[in-house]
Amino acid sequence: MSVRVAITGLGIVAPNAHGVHAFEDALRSGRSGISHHHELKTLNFECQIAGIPAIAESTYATYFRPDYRRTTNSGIRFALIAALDCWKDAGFGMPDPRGNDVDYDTGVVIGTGVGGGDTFLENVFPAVRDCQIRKLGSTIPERIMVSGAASKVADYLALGGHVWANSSACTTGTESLLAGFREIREGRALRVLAGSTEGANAACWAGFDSMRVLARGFNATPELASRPLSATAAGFVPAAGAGVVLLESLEHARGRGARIYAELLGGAVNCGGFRSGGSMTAPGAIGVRRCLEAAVSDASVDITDIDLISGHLTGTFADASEIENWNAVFDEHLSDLPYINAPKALFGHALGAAGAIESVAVILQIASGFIHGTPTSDDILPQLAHLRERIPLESLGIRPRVVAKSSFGFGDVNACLLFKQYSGGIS
Amino acid sequence: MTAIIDSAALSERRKYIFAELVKIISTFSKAPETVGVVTPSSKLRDDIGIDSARLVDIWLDIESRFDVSIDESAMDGVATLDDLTTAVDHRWKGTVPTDFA
Repeated sequence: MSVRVAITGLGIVAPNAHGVHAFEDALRSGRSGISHHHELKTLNFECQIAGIPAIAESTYATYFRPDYRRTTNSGIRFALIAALDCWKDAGFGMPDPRGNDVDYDTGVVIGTGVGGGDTFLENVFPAVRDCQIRKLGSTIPERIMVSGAASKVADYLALGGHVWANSSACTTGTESLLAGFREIREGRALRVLAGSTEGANAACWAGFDSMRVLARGFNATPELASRPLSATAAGFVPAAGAGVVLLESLEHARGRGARIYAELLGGAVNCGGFRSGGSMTAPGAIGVRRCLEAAVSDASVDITDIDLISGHLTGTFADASEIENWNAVFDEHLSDLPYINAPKALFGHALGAAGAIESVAVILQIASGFIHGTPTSDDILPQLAHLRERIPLESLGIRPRVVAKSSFGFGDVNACLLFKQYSGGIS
Repeated sequence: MTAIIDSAALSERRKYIFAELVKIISTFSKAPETVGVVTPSSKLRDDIGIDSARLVDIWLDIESRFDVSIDESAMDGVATLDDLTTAVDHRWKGTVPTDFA
């Protein structure tokens, strides 16, 4: 019998909130985390708005060692805060920082789509260009390695399981949770801190601005800019942040009396192979549908059990085809198409961090009993008008029992997870 | 982290260098809240919790703070705060501020 996997801790650093309770409030009230950033205007971005977590320096100082300014970058800092919050939320304490005890039963997988781009831009490139390599010091590798965030978490928490990072563009966060889930289901770990992070990184966002896929025309009204499923969508809003969940063997979680937010039932990842409409920038329909079907199968649920789809839904041309793909998967059960929401409407697209941040949102909706709204879809795409009541503008007081979280990314990669309300028992 | 200086054993110049070095190294300790007191004989790694890789950064900060140049070979054999104090004492051309107590 395979091991069931519970979610026993949450940590979140999102553009619209830091911390589980604040994030739930933001989701329920539809509070936007998107604002205008003068730096982007100075850098001549067409899109001068972004979703960037507002973490004060004084907050960093309470979480980190004194050397954090030179040993971390924004992505690592967001991930480390989320992971430490998550660890404590799950009921665990901080280890002795100078002790030698290691928890070999807990692994870490914290992915990132881009990684330490800000370190390259602000530190590495100027020093190399000016032939001042000697002055870089010892802390560049730990900031630019893709596993930098996961390593810092292992350091602070003395964790000794499989500690690593995954990277698969905008499916990274969803994929990281699936990777952690598989570690536990297959008996290789009791617990995995799983999540993803993305720094506030103008160097990364510049390429998307140049591609003309970032939202334009909303610099004066940033809270209206991220418009998934809207007829006036004008591209996605870049964002940053991190989400981390503690995945734990259900049996072990019950044994220690842990609070259980929800269960992760299973999921799938795949690639469309750049065929059937798939490309570097667009998902191919066949690959997407195979991924969604495989996820439902892996979770051992019926398609009609799904009460909510937390979509990838970025505010680009791909939104309509994403819904078409779900329609195809529901097939003869189309009349049972569940509620759909688009978390990016509230805080933008956090790229590699999106799947983890949005999974935290899903878990909170299951645990606390609500479905958050998609407020900027007020002028819904004409071809989706018949789904208006399935895509709420404001939060509903409905507790979803089974939720699908899907993500799609550059490279024609797809990912989907299935979460379920926990109702007691382990058999 | 509290710096303890044996006033009888150190010159004003070395006391001043020591105090400045404590400010620099305190930002590199893995667990500064557990260090307690540091003295010239405190070992950077075992007593203060400095990762050996961070010696490079400490040297860079010392160079910047005291406007000195320290070649890499000088790093060899440095184990204690007193070793660091000596390395700076031999190179620093500055004088102790009059308001240093």
